[in-house]
Amino acid sequence: MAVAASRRPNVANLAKSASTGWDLLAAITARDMRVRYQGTLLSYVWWIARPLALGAVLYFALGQVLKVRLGVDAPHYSIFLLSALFPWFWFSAGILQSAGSFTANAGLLKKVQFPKPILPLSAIFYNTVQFLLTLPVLIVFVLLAGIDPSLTWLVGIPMLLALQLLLMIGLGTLLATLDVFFKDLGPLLEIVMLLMFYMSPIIYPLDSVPDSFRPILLANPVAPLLEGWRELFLDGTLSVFSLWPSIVLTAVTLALGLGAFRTGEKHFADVL
Amino acid sequence: MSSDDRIAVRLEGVSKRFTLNPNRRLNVRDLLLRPHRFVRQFREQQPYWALRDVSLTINRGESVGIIGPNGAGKTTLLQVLAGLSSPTVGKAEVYARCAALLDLGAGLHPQATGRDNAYVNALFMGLSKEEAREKMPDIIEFSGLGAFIDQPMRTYSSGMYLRLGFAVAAHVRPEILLIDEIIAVGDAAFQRKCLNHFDKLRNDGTTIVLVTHNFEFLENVDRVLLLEQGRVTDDGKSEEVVLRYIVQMLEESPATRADFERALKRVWMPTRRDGQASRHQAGAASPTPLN
Repeated sequence: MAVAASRRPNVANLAKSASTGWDLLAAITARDMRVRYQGTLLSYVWWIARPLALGAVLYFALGQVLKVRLGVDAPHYSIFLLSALFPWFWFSAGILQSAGSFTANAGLLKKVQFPKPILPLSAIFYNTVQFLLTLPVLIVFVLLAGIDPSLTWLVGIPMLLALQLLLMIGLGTLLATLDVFFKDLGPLLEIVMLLMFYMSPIIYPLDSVPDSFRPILLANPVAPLLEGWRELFLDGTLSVFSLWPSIVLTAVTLALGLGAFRTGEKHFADVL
Repeated sequence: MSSDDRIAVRLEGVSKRFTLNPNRRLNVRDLLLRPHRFVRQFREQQPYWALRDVSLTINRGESVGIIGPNGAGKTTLLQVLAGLSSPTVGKAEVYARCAALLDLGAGLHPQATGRDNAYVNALFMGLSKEEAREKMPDIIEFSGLGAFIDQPMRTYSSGMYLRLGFAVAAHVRPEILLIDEIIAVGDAAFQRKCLNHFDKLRNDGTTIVLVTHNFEFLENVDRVLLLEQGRVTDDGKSEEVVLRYIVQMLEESPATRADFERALKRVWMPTRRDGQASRHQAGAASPTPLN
C-alpha cells in the first residue's frame, strides 16, 4: 500500500487545496476562453449560431412542413424549440467535452500532481460560461415573441442552472473516469447523445409522449430539466415537483462519479 | 510510523508492474460478445516489472542523480516519487511537496500564449493565485523568451518549451524538484543557467532528483543512483557511480568501446595540423576520473 503521509487530508491542507483548485479552475477556463476568442472574431456569433441554426431548420421542417401540433395553448413553436435547444447544447457540448477530458490530458495526468477533477470541471465550466453568455440572446428572443418577463425567472433560472450544472458535473466526472479505462466510450457517447436528442422533449412536449414511453424519458436526466427551462420561459412558471427525476438522477450520478473517480484515480498514470 | 523530519522520500521494497497485452487491448466489445476470449486475453497478459524491489531514502536537501539505459525504469521511479503512480508492491512515503518536470509541454496549451501557459502551469504545480502572480516576472525573466512570451506556444521550438516549463518548475519553490532528462533540449547557455539555478535551490534546501544521460549535469550532485532493469544496481558518490557505469558500458558493449577507443585515438594521437584544437577538446570531453 502506498501511503503519502503529507497528503493525508487535514483541515488546513484541504482548505488550501480547495482554494488552489478554484484558482486553477478559473485560470484554465479564462485561458480557454481567451484562446477561443483570439482565434476568430466571430466565435461568440458561432456559438449562438448553433442552437439558432438548428432551431430555424427544425422550425421549418417540423413547424412549417410537417405542421406539428402542440395542443391548444402552445403559442410559438420557434420559442418552444429554442428554449430547450440552448440548454441542450450546453448539456451535450459540456458532457462530450468533459467525458474526453482525462484522455485528452493524458500527458498532464502522467506528469503533474494536481487535483484531477479540475479537468472535467473546467470543460463543464467553460461551456457553462458560454451558456451564460448566450442566455441573454434566448431571453431577447422570448421577449420579441411577445412573452412577458416573469419574476419567477429570478428564482427559476438560478435553480435550473444549479441543477443542470450539478448533473453535468456528476455525469461528466463519471464518464471521464470510465473513458480512461474503456476506449470505446467516446464514439459510443456521440451516438448516445444523438439518440438522447430525440429522446428528450426538445422538438416535442413531454405531455404528448404516450404513457407507455414516459418511463424511458424520465430515465433520461435532462428530460425534466429541458421541460423546466421551457416552462420557465414560455409560461413563466416552474413546477419544482416535476423535476424530481432529475434531482434523483443528479444525486446518483454525483455519487457514482465521485465513487468511480476515487477508485480509478490511482490507476490513471498507468493506464493512460 | 516514525517520520524523521529529515527524510523527504522513502521507498521500501517498491515494485511496479505493468501488464503487456500480447495481441490487442482488452475492450468492451470482447467482454460483451466473446467473454471467453476476454478471459483468455486477461490471463495471457504479460507482467512487466518496471521497478523491482527498490528501497531508498532521500533526505531533505539532498540532490540525487539517476542514470541508466533507456527502459530501465527511471521515469517510472520519478512517477512513484511524485506520487503519480502507486507501487504494485511495497511502500512509498512522500513527505514533501513535489513539483515534477517530467515532460516538455505537459499541460501547456499550444494555442495559448507563453504568459497564459506559465500562469496556469504555476497553478497546476500548486501555487496559489497570489503566489503565481507574484512569481510571474521572475519566471518570464528566467525563461529569457523575450517578446515570444506573448506569442502562442505553437510557435515555440522545443528548446523554448523547455525554457518556459523549467522556468515555472524552478520558481514554484517545491520541496522536491523532479526533473526528467529534458534539460538536454536546451542550448548550452540555458543548460548552464539551469545548473546554476540547481545550486541556488540546493542552497535553499530543495531536494532535487534529476534523471539524465549527460554526466556533466551530475558534477554537483550529492549522490547518483544507477538503475538497470528496474533495480537500483549502484548507489553512491557521483563520480564513483558514473565511473563504474562508464567502465561497465565499455566492457559490455563493443560498439561503445570502439567509439571510445576512436575518441581516445583522436585525443591522444593528434595530427600536427589540428593538434592544438584536439588537445583543447580533450580537456573538456574526457571525464576527469579517468586519469
